[in-house]
Amino acid sequence: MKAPAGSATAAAARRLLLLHSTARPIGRGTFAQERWNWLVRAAVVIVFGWGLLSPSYGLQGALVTAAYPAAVAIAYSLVLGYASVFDFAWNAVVGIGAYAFAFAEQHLGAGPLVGTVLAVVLASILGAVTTLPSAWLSGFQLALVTIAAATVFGAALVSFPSVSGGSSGLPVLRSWFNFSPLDTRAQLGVAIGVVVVTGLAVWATTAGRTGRLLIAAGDDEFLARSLGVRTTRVRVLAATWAGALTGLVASFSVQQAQVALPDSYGLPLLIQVFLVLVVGGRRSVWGPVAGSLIVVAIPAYIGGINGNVLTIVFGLLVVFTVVVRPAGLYQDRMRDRDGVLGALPGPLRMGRTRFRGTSKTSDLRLFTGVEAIGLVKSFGAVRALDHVSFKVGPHEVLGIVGPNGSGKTTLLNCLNGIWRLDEGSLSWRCRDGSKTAPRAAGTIALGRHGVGRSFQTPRVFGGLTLRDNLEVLPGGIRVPPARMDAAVADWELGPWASQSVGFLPHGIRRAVEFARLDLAGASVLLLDEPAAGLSDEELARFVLAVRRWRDEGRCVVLVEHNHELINAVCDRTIVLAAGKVLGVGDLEELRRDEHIREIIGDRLD
Amino acid sequence: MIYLQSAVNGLGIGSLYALVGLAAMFVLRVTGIVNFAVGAIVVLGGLFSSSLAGIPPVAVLVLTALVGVPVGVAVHFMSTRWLRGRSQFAGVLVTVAMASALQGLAYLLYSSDLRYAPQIFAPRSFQLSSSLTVDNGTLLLVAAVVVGYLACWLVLDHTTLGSALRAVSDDPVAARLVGLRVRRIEITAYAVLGALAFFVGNVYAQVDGVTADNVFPTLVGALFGLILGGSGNLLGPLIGGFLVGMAQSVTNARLSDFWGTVVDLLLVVVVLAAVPGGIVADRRQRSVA
Repeated sequence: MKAPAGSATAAAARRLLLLHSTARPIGRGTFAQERWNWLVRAAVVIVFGWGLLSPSYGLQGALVTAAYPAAVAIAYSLVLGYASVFDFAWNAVVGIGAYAFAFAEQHLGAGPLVGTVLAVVLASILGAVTTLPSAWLSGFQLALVTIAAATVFGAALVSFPSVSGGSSGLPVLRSWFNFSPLDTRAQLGVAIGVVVVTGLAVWATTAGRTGRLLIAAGDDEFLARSLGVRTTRVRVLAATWAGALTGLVASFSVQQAQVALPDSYGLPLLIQVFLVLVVGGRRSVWGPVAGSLIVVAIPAYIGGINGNVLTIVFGLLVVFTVVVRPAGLYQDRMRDRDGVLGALPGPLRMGRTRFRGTSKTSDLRLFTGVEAIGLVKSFGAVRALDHVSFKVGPHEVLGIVGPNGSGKTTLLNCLNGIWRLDEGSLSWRCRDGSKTAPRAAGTIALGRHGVGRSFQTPRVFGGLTLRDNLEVLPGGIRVPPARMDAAVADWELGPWASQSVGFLPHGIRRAVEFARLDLAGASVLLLDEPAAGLSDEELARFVLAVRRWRDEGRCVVLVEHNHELINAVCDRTIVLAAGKVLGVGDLEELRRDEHIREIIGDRLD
Repeated sequence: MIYLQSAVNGLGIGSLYALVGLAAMFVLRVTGIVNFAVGAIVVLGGLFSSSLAGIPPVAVLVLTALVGVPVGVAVHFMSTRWLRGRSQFAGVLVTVAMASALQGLAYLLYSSDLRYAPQIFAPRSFQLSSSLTVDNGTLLLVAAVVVGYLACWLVLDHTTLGSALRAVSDDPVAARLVGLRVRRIEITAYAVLGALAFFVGNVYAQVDGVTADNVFPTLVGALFGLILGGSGNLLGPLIGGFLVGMAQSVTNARLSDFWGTVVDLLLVVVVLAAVPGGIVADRRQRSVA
């Protein structure tokens, strides 16, 4: 698309081009989504307000019934929504909270305060324990193991009746409030209070840096690790906090029910919470409340519906919602996560969180080069790397060329700590001159020591804005706003800075990776075919950046098919074929060798 | 000796896990989705066959397997059909919800009573040694495992249909581009799954009886077997299933049902920490980055 000469200024044409190439984060447009969100919020407030004011016991009762699942879902959204951890034992987390409260009264003779504290403590422990296997299990395996863990909890309730009261459960007689059963208005008041407290807690947690880390770990765990984020720790902490909130909610809901029954905390509860989250929106606070009004309050208000029919309808509704509207009713507007103040609506916003300090890793411990000795890596019968040795240091750009399948990406993955070496060793040189050869350095540790990576297909966190993507950095580095703005400007990312990166085109995502490497201060850069799919203009900018990185003293390892680019920026080049090093040196000179030319081609001549 | 006897008894429940795991692996291979609804389909099959009293048992078996075909296809149309190209998150959520809905259906139709299907063989016990017996129900289940394994081995690894199924699983877009009818193949896979699952359900209901309460224990046991054994090899779910079943049976005999569940859970968590891919090696390797 070219601007017609004379009819518009260059700037206007540019604006036009930007408008056309800018993907909107949400299909229906941000504006429509925002208006819709206001509608949902207003509806929630009106329904609950009306419930408080109206004299109807039925309505108030239904709203109380809906409020507790909503509060549980809000807390659980930290785990299932933000961090995307398949911890399917959350029904047990609710259950242990409820039982702890009842247990404190029945067996310890303690008052409601002790009960609530016990509920919070035990639920947070169970939340953490059930999330812990996510260190080595993922996806459906974790879902399965946690479902089984919840089954164990259910079986324990039945198997130890002396503690749990068996199938007749534990009664709750003493509680924080002693309302008459007819005082449904006061009960609703308490329930709304619980929802508000949980909502505020989750909102404050997700507004700033923590929210950013949760989403980063949830959207692309692998990328997060390469950026030095301790993903397991993030997940377990999120589950601990969510468990504590859930325990609080459970201690109040069990007072409302006046008895803790084993059947109340089985799989149907989990499905109900799923449904509330899925219908409402799994990464928001208002969503679950709205979802709960629809799927819990309405059936409760109608009443008399067969439980099995409800189970069937709920199950099918989950399927339907996931398919038709995966984001849920209420989708939080994509915004930069600037902490609690920044998350306030416009007029109340007071400013960005102030910048504090930099990385915890000392500059001296940053890696500035690596020496690889006899690297061997096999996948089954395929030997992807066969005794590869090389050395690269600061102020140096090392190119790696070779046909597809020659082991280039495997080499980067081994350098990056993703794959364990079968043989050989890596010795990293630190900025202070010392050398270190960790036996099995993990991706996270390498990320924290300045090893940066760009991927064959650019990887970004789809649930974050572009600017937030650039703020997920190793060791919790916080970048001064001025430097952030400069990086955004350098890579010409300005027009997209506050948008979701999930919908941006390839060249922009690639630029996000480069800007991230810049901001992270990565001292060893592992770039996997960075030039593929870039326009001439983008390529020129990249070449300048690589030269700048070299001048700054960084060490760049560049895997590429584009020999022209290699010639333009690399000091030395390694030719790989079938996992073996065929030659090291200047690419032009290497190409004089008949054998090498046969393998890597003759495209320049 | 009591351990040996309970290990032999565990062969029965282990066979069930192996069969359900095999069915789950079958759909995993074809659609790339671990379908949590498989356990519910098996239980529905068992309950259905138990309602066919007064018909010759062999006819019940055939009829059940036939009815399983539309059930499998219906499950596909109501859930997994929409999941192509969606995240794993959507897959897990949708199939767990589907399992829960099917369990609700089972409760609605058959309540939670333990029901038996008409038995092909009258129950009998064989004395293996002075203190070791095995009943023919267990043997029937083991025989069903052998049949199921051979069928999967033949279909998946040694027919054109098998190659097509695998192609669809590995890359649906490419499969469509080379002219495979992806939708039709998926429907076929779920039809086969339905028949297989209802067949398993019937055998299960003949030997041990089924109730709607069994949906999730069966599923968890079977999928435990699948991830313990590894899903890259047909032997994976079999070895894993028998292991889980026997561990559970031995613990139950020694302690209580509760500890059986705990031991299985620990077994899976610990083994997977040591061998992430499962006990039986995967012949296919997938890359990470």
